[in-house]
Amino acid sequence: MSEQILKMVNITKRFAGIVALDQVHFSCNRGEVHVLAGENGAGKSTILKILSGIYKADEGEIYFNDKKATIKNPEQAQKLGIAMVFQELTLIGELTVSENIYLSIEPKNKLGLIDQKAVNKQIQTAMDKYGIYLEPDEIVNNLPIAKQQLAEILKILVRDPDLIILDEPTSALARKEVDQLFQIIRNLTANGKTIIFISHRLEEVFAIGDRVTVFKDGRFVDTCNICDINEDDLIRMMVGRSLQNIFPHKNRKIDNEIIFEVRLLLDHDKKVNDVSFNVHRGEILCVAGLQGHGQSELLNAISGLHPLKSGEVIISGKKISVKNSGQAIENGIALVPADRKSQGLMLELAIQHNLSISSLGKRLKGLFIDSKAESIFCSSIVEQLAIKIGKVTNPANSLSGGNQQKVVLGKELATNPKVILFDEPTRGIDVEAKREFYNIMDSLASQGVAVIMNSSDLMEVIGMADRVAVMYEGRISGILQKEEISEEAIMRYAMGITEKYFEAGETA
Amino acid sequence: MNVTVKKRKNYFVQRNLRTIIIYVFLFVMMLVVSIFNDKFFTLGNFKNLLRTVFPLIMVSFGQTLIILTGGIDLSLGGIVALTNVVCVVLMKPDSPTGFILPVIVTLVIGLLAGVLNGLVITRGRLAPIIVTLATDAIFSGAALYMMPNPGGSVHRAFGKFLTRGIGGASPLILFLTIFIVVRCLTNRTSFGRTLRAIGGNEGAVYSTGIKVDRVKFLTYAIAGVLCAVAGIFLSAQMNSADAAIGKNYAMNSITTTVVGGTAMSGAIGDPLGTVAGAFIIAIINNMLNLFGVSSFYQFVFQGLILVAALSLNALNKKG
Repeated sequence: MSEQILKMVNITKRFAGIVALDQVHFSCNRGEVHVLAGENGAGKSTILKILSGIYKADEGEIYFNDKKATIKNPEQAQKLGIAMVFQELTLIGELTVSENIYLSIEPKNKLGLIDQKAVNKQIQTAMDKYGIYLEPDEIVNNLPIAKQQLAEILKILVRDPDLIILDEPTSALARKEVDQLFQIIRNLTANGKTIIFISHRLEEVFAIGDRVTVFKDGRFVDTCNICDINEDDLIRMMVGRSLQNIFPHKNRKIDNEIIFEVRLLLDHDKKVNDVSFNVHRGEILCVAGLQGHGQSELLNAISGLHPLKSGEVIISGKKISVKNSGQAIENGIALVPADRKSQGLMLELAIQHNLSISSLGKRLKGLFIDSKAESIFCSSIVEQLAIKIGKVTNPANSLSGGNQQKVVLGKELATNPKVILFDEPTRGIDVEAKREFYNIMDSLASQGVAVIMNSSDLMEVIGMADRVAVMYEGRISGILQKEEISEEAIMRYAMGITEKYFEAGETA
Repeated sequence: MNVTVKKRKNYFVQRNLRTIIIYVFLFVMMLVVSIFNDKFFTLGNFKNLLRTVFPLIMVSFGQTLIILTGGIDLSLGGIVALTNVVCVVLMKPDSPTGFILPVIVTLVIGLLAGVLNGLVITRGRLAPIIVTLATDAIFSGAALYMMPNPGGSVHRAFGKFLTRGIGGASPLILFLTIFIVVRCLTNRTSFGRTLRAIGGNEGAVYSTGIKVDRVKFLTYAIAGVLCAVAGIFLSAQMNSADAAIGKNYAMNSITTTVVGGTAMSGAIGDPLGTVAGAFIIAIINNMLNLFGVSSFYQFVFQGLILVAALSLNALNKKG
């Protein structure tokens, strides 16, 4: 048994009352590659951000090298020898590669000025040592994303930390670069460095990991040696909650008639890559996948917010154009966006104003807004969606999350959409509000509106969907029909495990 | 891998393109002006020009540093006015050493004003534009309180030395010294790199384990000192003080910084460009004077230049 370098005990973290981490434990041994696994929202990134000083834990203790450590900010984490390669890169686009890599640790001459010759020499040595070759004087913004990722990794490596956290470092890398990174990781661990690694690609977990810790819903599940388990075991640890009975029964009548279809949608940077699917009358289609595989971009693309390079959008057999959101709304496409606070509502304005904004043109009296028609309209929406409010003139931020979300929905319904897209509709709202939302979706689908929901909550997807389109790296990696829909099946597609592999796993 | 043996590409032009363009523009403009004014390329005219733009350049250096961090400072004019007044009030025109203490005190006042800005912005997590709008009122108000009407006088020998000493070269020497210090700071020190990095992506710099607040705080403090230098120089130049002198410096320093190629969003820019920006503005005003254009139109003109420079920057970014 090797020596323990890190021990995190009873870590709890809440965000605005919602528990993100609940009394979790996590520990690492010197010289190992420790994989942290779990679904979206399991708390992986949260605990690592606590470790690297971005967040502060509400409760719990951290021991580093057997000494109790307080980590209040990233600076303290770095002093301890903990460094993190973030999912969202920390490079400064306007500066050069070498300026970024040596930011704040530049070698200096006697006058305290940066010794550019020494920087050039050191960066060459570092590049040779790790086999990462970049043009040191290139401006970072001019680099493709994979090179930026490598630059970010090199930036951490030259700081020579003892514990290196890699949060999905391979998401933008090609096969060859991943192999190279793995070689670097093996060299590092051979030299006594410790790596914490998050990846959503299972094959990578098994290729590089020594041990794995699984989190689920902000709780610690287990830590085990990778050599003792197989992929099925790991997936089983990551999933498997009891299904809460808050979903409407799926007894909608589904026609064969296709009321909405997209064909070969492709955007400029392949976040959405040749996506095709259709929705039948009466059906709810869910889009699932791990975070950042193009689901939100897909919904935004359909509603005119994310520019497309090619592809067709067809409503009731008629091809339409969605170059901007105005066009999309005109053609009957509505989006309930993921972030209601920044994309859905004008928080400081009256509820009435929020509800009426997207359909103002329908209630005009000459040039002016017909205020009588508007208040009738608002009370009808409030009643229809059972929004719990004081007065319609109160600001939107006086409402609870669930009611705010209903206001967003009401605003969209007022345009009489034929297609309604829900992007993470129940994030941060309570169970009762969730149940009401599911019922609304159900009745919309029965009324013949095409309902498409993207959700990272797998239980919600399973509870609501008639069909599930799972996305992986911008493509639809699989479409699951009614009885095929299960957490495990979705996770497999979401991790890009191929059809062939999937079948082999099923029969095993 | 052939990448290793490849010679490092030369990025000089790419990195300095903005500054090069600005200097080309400045020289073309000078040539055009010299057609109308045959005395333009004379030593006397250049001495004059430098004396005119010296205070603005000092303030603009401060503004450039702040804009590089992605901030802005509207109170720099207030600091100029305050230090201008403090310097004159403390001066004893006839005592042989009566200028030493006032100069030191004035520099300290400038520093403190900058420190106040920096503290409120970093500790209070407030937007620089709002904070400095408020502190500008405080600084200008304090200046007016101390000296409601323009007046006073400066230590004679000191004033003469600062504006015309060493064969008239002392403004040039002072300018070059400060320029070298400021440019080394932005382009050759760790501090300068961090300053730009903050303008590029503050959150990322924080994640890298850098004391973002300290760097921002120091930047505002340094700008305060530079404004004090401008205030002292103005006292010497006018041989008096005027509490209303600062009112155009905030806008003018922003104009020169932007014309000089610094991006309002931060990170990109060079004090060398700011120098050119200041001369461009000064020469244009000089021209307008020469043609007898009313000074009111000069404001309109300057506004138009600022809009043009901002639009060019925006286009540059898109391209």
